[in-house]
Amino acid sequence: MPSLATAILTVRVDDAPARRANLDAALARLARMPAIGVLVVEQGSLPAPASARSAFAYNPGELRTGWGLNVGALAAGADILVFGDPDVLPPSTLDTAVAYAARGWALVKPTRGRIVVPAPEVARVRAMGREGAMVARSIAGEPEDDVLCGGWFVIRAATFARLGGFDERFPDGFERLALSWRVERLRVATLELDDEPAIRLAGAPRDDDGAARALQSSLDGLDDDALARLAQVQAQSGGRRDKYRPSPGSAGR
Amino acid sequence: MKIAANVLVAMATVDGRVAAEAVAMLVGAGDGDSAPRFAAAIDAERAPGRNALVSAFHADPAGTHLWLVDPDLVLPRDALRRLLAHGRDVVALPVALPGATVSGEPRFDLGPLVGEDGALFVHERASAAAMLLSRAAVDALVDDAKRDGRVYAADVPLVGSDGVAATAVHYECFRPQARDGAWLADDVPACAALRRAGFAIHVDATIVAHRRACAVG
Repeated sequence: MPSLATAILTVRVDDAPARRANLDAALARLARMPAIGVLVVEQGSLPAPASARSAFAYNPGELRTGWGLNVGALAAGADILVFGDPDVLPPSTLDTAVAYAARGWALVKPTRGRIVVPAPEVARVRAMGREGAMVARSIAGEPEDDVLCGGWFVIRAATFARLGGFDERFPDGFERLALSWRVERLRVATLELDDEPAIRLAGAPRDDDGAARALQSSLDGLDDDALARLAQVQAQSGGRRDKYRPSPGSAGR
Repeated sequence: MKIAANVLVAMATVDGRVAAEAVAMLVGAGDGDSAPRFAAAIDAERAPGRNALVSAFHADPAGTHLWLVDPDLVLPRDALRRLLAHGRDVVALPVALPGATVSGEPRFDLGPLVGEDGALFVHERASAAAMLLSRAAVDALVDDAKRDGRVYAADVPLVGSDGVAATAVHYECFRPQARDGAWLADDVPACAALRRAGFAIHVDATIVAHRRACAVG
């Protein structure tokens, strides 16, 4: 059965063992969703042996999630994109969300709220999948609010391009917050499935980064023309695989 | 916010005409005692005009920044203030090329994206249609031209504010050229020279510039 959509994840080849275990769990779960193909964008200075369809993108520095996902979006060449986070279990509603996108919804969030699994329970939840999540939920209590474009979500490629993709200036999960903000500003029709919460296997991204907050506040002052221009420029320039590869005349001033 | 800068707003025109919107933008660009000066060079080709402007700026040590702006460009009135506020040596804007992509989206005159710097993007190359250069960056361009012997005598008419005058000797900082079977616009080697000298090509993608066709002449 041909894939309706491509799921994109990005990791570093030297990620911590726990994160690799989370990635393996996510890939195993996605393998049971035939409507969804998978593309893993591996960041680093050397490619690692492929564990799924993968694309290598040179980046000797810190993980740049927004950039990696943009690289994957370009490489995927799919009409429907599924963006994921290896630290969040792919929800069982993901293929349903893809089906809604195939029927024309611009953006579909397969979950509502999130549960952060306590560290001592992570290995057990990871091994059990959704059933383990029920255990975690009984410990963690009610779901907390989640960012619209956090964790896993499904988006039509044309919509993603209109939004300018992930803002590569934002590090550490803030690229997802920035994209969520653009979805709201550009009034993208969004469907949220509320059958289950997202299950996060690692701590939530930092939410107190001063530089990212300042960048976010700089976006708040943009009028619609400026926001649209920013998105157009980013749609043209973003997702360049060789962005961080040194070239003659690299400069910093 | 007041910014201590002595800016020369420099337009390379093919016939001396400047869009009314560009004039309006200039009028609104200053903030009291830091009002920019203005110069327009008149030449049938853009590159010699830009070189005349660079040379005139270089000859006047009072100037802190050179802002190259095409005379048909319509910009927000606070564009200069926002560019200066970044405090970078080279900051350009995304300027759309003529025409559009198949999907109808504009295509911007920008080289590959190579990084980011706070709110700014860093590109391999950007258009000189709206590019702010610090004194250090202009000096680097001129030094590069001198090293290569790209120095020539020219008579390009130049009009501008008091104290802004044409020079007899010009530095060929902007030069279109063919290389490896491809034609390169005049800002390609200029940006390469800036990068070799250690200057990143920053781009503020939130300042919206439009071309106004009738002013090109």
